[in-house]
Amino acid sequence: MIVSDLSNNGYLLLTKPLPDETITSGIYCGDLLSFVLSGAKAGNILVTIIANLNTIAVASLVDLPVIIFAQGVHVSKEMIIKAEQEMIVLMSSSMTSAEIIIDLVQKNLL
Amino acid sequence: MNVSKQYLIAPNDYFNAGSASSDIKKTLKSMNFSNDLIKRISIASYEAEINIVIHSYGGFVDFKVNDTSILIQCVDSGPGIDNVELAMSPGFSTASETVRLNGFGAGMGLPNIKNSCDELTIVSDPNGTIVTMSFHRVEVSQDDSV
Repeated sequence: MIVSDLSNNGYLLLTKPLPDETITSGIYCGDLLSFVLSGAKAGNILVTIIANLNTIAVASLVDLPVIIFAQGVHVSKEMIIKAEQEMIVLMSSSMTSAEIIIDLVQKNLL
Repeated sequence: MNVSKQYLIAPNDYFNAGSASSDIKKTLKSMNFSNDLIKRISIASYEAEINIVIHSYGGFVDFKVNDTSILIQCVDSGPGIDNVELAMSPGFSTASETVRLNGFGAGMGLPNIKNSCDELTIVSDPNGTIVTMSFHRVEVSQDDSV
């Protein structure tokens, strides 16, 4: 999946578009960052409600190119700046984490 | 090439938490180590670094690469771990509600470290904790040949 697949399907892009299409592979859903660290695989999209700088740090450490924040949680300007420095795409949705997974499957994006 | 770096870690500094581990990862990537090794080191160093931020009065991280291994030693100035064996149990946590709301406190920090390292020692008393983690060197060519 590429990022424009998401932004064209109702997911709000919070960071600046990257110069090249960011390609993702698979998805990891979770809110406990230690589990994200050990369980997510490089290239996964992270779906979470934990919106702080540590989420960006964890995504950067395990090479997660896209984070989708569920349930419209607030994403700070500092997070957006940090994500852009780390070349991580941030997106937002009003759906719950489970609804996001179902939505992506129904749209054949997973 | 050998490397020796040290990073100061301030208590409760969530803004900069992870910056030492991020620099360690970037250094290792520039040295052609395998992706699996870099991931294991990233997990262990981040968990140890965040433990200093969350639980300690502050400390530092020493990072060394020598001819045979990668060494990361995390040293803090207290208050120490009451029961190291219990703290190593998956799910055990003394983290505050604030820490949990930030996505930590799952009780998986030390278990993640243990699972990621080739060798681990933890020495702790009320004056501080020393977590020493070592990893055998695995360069990309060896990783790819498996």
